[in-house]
Amino acid sequence: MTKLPLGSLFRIILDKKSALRFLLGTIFSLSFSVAVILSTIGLMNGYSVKLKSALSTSNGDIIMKARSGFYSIDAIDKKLSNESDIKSTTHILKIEAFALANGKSKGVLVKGVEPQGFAQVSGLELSGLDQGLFIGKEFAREFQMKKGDSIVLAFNSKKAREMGSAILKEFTVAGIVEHGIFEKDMRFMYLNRDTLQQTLDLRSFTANEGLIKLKNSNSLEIVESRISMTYGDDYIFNTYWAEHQVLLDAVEIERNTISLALQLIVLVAVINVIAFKMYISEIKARDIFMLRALGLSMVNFTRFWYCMLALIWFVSVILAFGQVLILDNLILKLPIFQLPGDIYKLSQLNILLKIDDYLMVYGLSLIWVLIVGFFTIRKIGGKSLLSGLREEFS
Amino acid sequence: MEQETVNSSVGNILVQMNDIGKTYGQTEVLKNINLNIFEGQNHVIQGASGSGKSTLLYILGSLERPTSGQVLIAGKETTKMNDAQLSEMRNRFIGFVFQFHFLLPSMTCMQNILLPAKIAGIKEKQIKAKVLEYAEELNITHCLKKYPFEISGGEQQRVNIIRAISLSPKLILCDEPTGNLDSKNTQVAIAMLKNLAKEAGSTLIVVTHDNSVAASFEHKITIEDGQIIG
Repeated sequence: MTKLPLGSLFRIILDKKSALRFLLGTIFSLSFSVAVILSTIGLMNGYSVKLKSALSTSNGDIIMKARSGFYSIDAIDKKLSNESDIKSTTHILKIEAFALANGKSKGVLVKGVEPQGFAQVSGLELSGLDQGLFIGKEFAREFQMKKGDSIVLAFNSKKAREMGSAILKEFTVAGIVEHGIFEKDMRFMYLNRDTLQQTLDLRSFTANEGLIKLKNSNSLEIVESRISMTYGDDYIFNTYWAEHQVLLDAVEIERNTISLALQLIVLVAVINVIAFKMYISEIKARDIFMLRALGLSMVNFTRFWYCMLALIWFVSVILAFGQVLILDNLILKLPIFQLPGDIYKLSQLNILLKIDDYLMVYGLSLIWVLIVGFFTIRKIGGKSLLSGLREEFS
Repeated sequence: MEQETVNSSVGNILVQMNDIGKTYGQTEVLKNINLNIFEGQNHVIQGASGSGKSTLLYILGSLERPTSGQVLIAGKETTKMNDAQLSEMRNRFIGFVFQFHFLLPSMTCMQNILLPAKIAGIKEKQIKAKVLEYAEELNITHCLKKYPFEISGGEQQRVNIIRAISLSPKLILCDEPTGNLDSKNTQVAIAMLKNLAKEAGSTLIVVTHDNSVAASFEHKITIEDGQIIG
């Protein structure tokens, strides 16, 4: 078996500056296209995760509703206390209202919560809720409200309807909260549950939404499915993202579709690889045929060829990884990359990539490069030494 | 067909060609070639352009496979060998000198000469002394550290010759080795090749259409329309 070291072959094949420059260009274009795909997938992953995370704030892991509307807190707490997967639960009285402040009004969703239990489940601290109302950051901005200001809430209760009017009550802004989602920051308001029950003249221990925090959030869908089976006759259980499921599914489908469409960019980069291979086979054909005449076997040359391809691919994916990291940092630091605030305020949206994503993108690009390499080597190997030498030396 | 045997001195058969035929598409380039060549002999293959002499040489050197027939080099049937085996055969048993003494421009002359050894996995120091000896004999010691483009055509051809014999091949095949040389340098190059082949104990086969070169060889093979005629 011939044993010409790969390093010597690299030196022979890449001795011209133009070949080296071409190689660098090929590597850069491949790395750039791989980085574009990774960044797109990563951004969409990051978006899904951030959206889920933002939805989780104020919702816990599982949202529970009674089929009859209002329910007794004691009754369901007794039932759920047997569930070992549940860490804690809290119950909310949720009602639509109109907020009137500074001569403006807006439809809002007022949530009556028990602050300590609510903080444990949702992670949203509402300390000082006993002193008044918590409003969202965007509402405060639009209505130019600050802590200590007054807001009038107009509730439409059954009792008020009978009297042909609404219940109007003034509250002091006790704090401003941020959920990370524009819609929530604009419309969600928080009151102490007892205060809201009293305002609406509802019985204590009455609620219309339960929030459940699990010990292990990874088993969320399994637990949700199980408790739905157990208590499904009277209650409806949903994951905290269920109301946005359509959006999340759309993002997932879009992610996969775009990944496939972006393979076109890899194809363009692969065309560069083809051009590089053609360039090498043209300008180095003499060297290749001479080396073969001197005893370099096709096995040895094929090994070199695939090593060169693997090297191009490897350096490209490492560079692509670096480019993705740079973009990720730029997204975090440059205002130009911030999401429009009138849709979502997902604080820091960043690129999130799983091993599967890397495997898919890197794997597909490697397959493309190997396919190109296979056909090029077949072309070189298919030509007889005699015709090659004659062509090149005539 | 009658076997063409060139055997005027003592030695074993180094190359045996039995009923060799070669066609390219519809064109029959070689027809029923039967040839025995003995170790240590020098031969010239003559013929008009397109007669098939170069094709015969390349088949001898396992650079090309025949369409039919059998080639044995040192008793081994090359027609049945795979690419890796043929490559090893070319590397260890055969030295080539081409008309265009192609040397790799990215390597010094010494590195070019050592290339067959590198391909064979032989350590440089094992053959370096011999290479230096040849270089001194051919008066190109001063060229060894230079790149091919820094030396003259005649010097390049001598580097090429040393590369061909560096691993002391059993068979040295030359395709129009003096095609680019003037008459004075032609005689010098042929004399060098003969001397070096003798020193290395190699069999020298030269393809040429130059009658003055052919006249200096004792054994001549004349080929016409793909057949050996003398």
